[in-house]
Amino acid sequence: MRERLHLGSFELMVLLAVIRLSDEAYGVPISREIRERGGRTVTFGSLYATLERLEQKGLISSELGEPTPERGGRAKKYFRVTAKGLREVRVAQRALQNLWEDLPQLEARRT
Amino acid sequence: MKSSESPSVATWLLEHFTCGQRNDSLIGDIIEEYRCDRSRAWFWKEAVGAILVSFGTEIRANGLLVLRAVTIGWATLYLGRFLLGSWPYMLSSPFDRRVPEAFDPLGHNGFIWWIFWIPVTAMSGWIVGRFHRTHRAMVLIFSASVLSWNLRMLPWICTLSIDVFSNSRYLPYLISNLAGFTLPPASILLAGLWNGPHRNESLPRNTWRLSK
Repeated sequence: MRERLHLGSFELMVLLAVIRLSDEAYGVPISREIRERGGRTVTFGSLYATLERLEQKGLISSELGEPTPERGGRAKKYFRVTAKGLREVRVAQRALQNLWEDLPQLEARRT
Repeated sequence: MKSSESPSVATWLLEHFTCGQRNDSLIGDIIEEYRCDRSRAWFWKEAVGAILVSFGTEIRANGLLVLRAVTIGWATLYLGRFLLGSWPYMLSSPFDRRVPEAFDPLGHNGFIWWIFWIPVTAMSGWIVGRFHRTHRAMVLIFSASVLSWNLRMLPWICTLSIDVFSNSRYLPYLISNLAGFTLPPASILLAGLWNGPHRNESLPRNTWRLSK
């Protein structure tokens, strides 16, 4: 039986941001995406800790880009979601959709 | 986009206290975002946050290394203390086994003791840094352990700080105690980091800085 990873909510947000950004997924755009679309402010320290954890779980991979002057000559680290990462996102999406369905309290508020 | 340099002290701290593979790209991201109209306070907040996260990750991931670093550091300190504590006796009369006043660390002339003791603490920090070149947080952890041990001096320092207002003769004692509280952790930190930062040296960072 396949081992389930159980993504945390922030891990899921980071994975979705990486998927959305595609080839431009490095620290700065990922944090902006989470801030603007997810409505959550995140420090780079905790973002990188999460990215490192996701990479250790095999859900994302990374590669170094070229150093650029606006970054003080430091290279960008680009992230990409792996097949395993995509699978885990779909599993999380299905689980959340199942939980959202037919919630009577939410139905009442909508009217 | 801002053209100003990032706060140098905060950048230095980031270079020395964030560890692992993320170091360079993390600092680059903070600098890039800072140059998009972020304040110096924001940069400092990001730097301190990144250091604390890195510190926590190191402790969780390398428990045995933490134990080794603290053991090596304290063993060096005890050895140094033993060697330093024994030679004043050699200078004194064989019939008088009292420690000369100048070598009482918390005494009136305690600063003489600190002149000898600080190189020993610095040496312990240097050794810990040397043994853990790829895990810079170990120096910080060892320094923090020494600072925690020194916290026992705080009540005495507070008492002396109050007493010094009524009688100035307590001032040398206060200075000596303050030196004992702050200088060993600081010297451990500085000497431990003397081995050079851990980062990917293959990136031509200085070339970029010069070309700006």
